[in-house]
Amino acid sequence: MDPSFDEFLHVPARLSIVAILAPADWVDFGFLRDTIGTSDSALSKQVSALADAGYVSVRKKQEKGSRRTYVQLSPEGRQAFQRHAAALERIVAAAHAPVEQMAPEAKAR
Amino acid sequence: MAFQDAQSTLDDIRRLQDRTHDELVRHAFALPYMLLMALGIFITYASTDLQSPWDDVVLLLGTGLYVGVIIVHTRAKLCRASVRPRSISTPLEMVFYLGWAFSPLLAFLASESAAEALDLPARGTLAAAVTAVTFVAAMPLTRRIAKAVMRQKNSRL
Repeated sequence: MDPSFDEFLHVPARLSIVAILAPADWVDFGFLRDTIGTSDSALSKQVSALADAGYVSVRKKQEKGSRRTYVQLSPEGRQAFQRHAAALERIVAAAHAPVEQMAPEAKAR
Repeated sequence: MAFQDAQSTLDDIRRLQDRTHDELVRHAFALPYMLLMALGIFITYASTDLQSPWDDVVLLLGTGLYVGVIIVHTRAKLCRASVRPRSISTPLEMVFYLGWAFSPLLAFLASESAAEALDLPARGTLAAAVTAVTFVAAMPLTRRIAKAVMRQKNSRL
């Protein structure tokens, strides 16, 4: 297995959270929940696991009488995500490589 | 891991990132703010048809509305949006936002030249109206370009 492949991050719910967070700065907990299509408690569990691993930061804010929670990808989380995505791309590229190498030979025939 | 699983995971990552891009673009180019900006553009450029001192007064009003909307909208983006944007970081992003900021001026100059060539009355007001309408009408295209720029920025995340 590729050493950059992150088993901890590859859990679908965690990878979904990190994928949504990556293009943004802070993301509302409600947006994360609705986009992934999960429950508050299930999302909270995965966000806590990611926060414990240092991959995300969590901030609670009082806004117009309601309490909102925001999640942000940490620099460590971003690096781990980049490494993991690169490992996945290498797996896909390795699978396609023999086909691409054979293509010119097939054309010559 | 099978390459089909890796490919499927990468597809999921792109799909989810696109949801974030959609939300960022939806909020960045929200119609109420864009309509107010278009009104600011119209007032600013229509002031060129007025006599002194009204031209300066209306110019200040229009510019004030335009800048005020940008300030309020930026504050909303940074403080109240469900997805808050990362700071501008790529040259392409910079070029896009600068181009977008100056496009009304170019549209106005082109419209005014056309109005002059056709010898139309109230050229400034006419060109200002064309500029404001073009600004709003071009919004779907602007959103598509903004999303493409975001995708390019985040392609190596």
